Amino acid sequence: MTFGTLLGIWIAATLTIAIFSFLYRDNPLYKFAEHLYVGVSAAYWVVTTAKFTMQDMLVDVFITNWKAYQSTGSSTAFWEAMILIIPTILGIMMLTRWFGPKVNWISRWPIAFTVGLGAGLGITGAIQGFLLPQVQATLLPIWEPGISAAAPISGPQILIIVSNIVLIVGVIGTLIFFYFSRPHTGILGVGSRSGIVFIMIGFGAAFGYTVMARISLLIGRLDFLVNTWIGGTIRFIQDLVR
Amino acid sequence: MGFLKWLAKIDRRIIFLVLALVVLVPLLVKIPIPPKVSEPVENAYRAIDTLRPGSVVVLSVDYDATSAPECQPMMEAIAEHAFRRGLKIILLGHLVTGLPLGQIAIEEAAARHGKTYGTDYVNLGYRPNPITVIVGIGREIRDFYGADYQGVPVDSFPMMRDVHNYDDIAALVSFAHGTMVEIWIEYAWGRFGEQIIGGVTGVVAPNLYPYLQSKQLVGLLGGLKGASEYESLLERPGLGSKGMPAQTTAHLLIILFILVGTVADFIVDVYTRRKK
Amino acid sequence: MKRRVPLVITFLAGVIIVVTFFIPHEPFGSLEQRLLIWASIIGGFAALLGIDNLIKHHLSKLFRRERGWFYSLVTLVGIFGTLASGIVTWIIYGTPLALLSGLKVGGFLWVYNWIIVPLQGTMFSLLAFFIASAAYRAFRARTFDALLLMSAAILVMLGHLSIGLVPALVGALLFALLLVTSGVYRLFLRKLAAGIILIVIGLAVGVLAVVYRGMMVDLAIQVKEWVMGFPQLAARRGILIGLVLGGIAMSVRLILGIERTYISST
Repeated sequence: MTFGTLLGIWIAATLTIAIFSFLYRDNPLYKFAEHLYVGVSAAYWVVTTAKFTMQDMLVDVFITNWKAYQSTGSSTAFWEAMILIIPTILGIMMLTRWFGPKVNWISRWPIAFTVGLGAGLGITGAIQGFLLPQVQATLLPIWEPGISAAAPISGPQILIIVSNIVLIVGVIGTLIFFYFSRPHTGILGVGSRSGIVFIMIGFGAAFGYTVMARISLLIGRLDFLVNTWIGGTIRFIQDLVR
Repeated sequence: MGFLKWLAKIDRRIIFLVLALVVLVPLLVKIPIPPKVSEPVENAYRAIDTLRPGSVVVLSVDYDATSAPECQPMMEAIAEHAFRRGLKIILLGHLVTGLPLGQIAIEEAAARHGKTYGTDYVNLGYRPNPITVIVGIGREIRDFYGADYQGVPVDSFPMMRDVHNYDDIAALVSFAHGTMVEIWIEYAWGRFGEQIIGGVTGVVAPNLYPYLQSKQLVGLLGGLKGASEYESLLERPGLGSKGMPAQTTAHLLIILFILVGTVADFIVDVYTRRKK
Repeated sequence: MKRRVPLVITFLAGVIIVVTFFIPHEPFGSLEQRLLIWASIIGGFAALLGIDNLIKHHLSKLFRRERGWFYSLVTLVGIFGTLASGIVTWIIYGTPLALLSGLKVGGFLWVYNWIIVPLQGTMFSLLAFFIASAAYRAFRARTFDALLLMSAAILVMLGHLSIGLVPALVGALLFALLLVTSGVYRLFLRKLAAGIILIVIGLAVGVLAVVYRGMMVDLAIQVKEWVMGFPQLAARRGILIGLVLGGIAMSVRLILGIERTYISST
């Protein structure tokens, strides 16, 4: 382990404890860590986005095509380079939001482009990639074929049939509960009541999973403190002594 | 009632402390975990295991440090599995704050298996606006990822020469703490029939069960438990299995909290009704 | 210029994308691809927007010596320090995300590993404590629906226990105890039928857990997968179908220019 890594581990441990100190009560140490977090992560975004967008998608592509044009005279390469002016201008228009209400309306053009494109993709994607397969998967058989007096129904088959009914009733009930604005009486009332039952189970199950997720994060941090920080420091000292 | 009042007024910092201890103690001792694997994890394992050696898989880093304790073990396990099976890995990511985590996991696995960059795996980095990138890969991956994360043209990598779109990608694993798996499904599966596996946090996992049943998702690793199950299939315990004892004790504590809170509420309710 | 042009752009972009979906042949296919690339690039520029506000806000706080100006200084040092580290790393290694920079003090990945990761990770791990506190305070089982929610939560949690028999058994017995006390509570309220049913179920769960303890671990996982794969799935799918239908309607409204809040927000 290098000294730089050891220093890093100690800084990380200090920051970890600073954030945990919030559990006792809000305090300057926590505030320090929180403000540092905001600044550092914002700058991280800027650097990486600049690299992966400005350099990789604009500058490098332009240079490659321009070189190709210069060496071969290919008009395709020329236009491939030139057409990058359009997204560059749109991108710069986006940045007019920096300069206040007099010019920031210009940013509406690239926003409008992105919104329109997103909406177009959204319509087809939602139908093809979600709605059709999901509805189709709900149309399940509620009777297993091949069951007769000679081959009576088995335990697992009953479970499948019951489960499929549960699934179909649950989907329909939930839809009725959420999306019918008419008063929930009569058959709608029954449907919406069953919808509530399923929604409760759904929320409960989600809570159960959320517990696991949150505890995992705590395990991750405590593991860092125990094994990386304390353990790492001990290993570093042992190496020094040797 | 005195005891109940004490229970109701208990300082939450005491609850915090109890939880911290319950998580910390099992981390200090080694407890072996009997392997029990759920169906979604087994399906994910089998999907990777049955790919032809030499096939290309995409591993998408759609998580970051806020969920690394859950997704990192999955990333490590699947990278390990892929290299064991002789698969080639394309690493990319839709969360730039998480990209280095995927990078570290891949490099470690590659070092263990003696894999070389460019021949066995590449890191294509990050591009903004995930939906457009995902749809665009369906036509030509170079249109978005002309170069890797270091700016080296992808055509200079042997493994990338025949990779153009989803036809050349055998499977895709998205490690996510948000809606990215759903987006991959909607566009990469929906339009191009790509085989997709999800490795997600516990918060996201329930959202993905509808896609498992509709067979839009081949397999699913949900939360730390999912990661530990995958590790047990690999017979290589990692961060997931290491965390499960603490996970178990913390779960029991939470169930106990629920029980105590609920029973106290029952007693208070009955007591106040009697008074009226 | 300010309103009509954006509406036209949205309409054209949306229509082109939908048309190319149905006619992916040339020239539509490459046109779509071109637009997708542009949208990705614009997304990159958009990511730069936030930092400007952040810098302005904290600079003004610092110069006016407002309360908490010191913390603004911390944020600014964080921003400019990280920018400097990123740019220097980028110049030296050709990419800010060079793994080697993780070993050098102040390298971009060193900042990432030892400042961003612990801060982000710890910030979110605080939620573990709040969920424990919520489990203690917020769960109530006075009504049938609440009891159902709680039971689903516990059944899923039981499926996540993993170090063998003892925890699984303890968990199942706690669940049985919860059902029995819920039953007893209902007896106190003179809801005899509900009370007796709950007590019987609770006792049955407890007895079966002890008798068939050998199967407990497997069974817990299977029960969890059933809850997740059928009733939970049904509710989730119902909600998602509704959301997606709403999303499609919204997309159509956007393309047709009926929904225009996105251009009035600037």
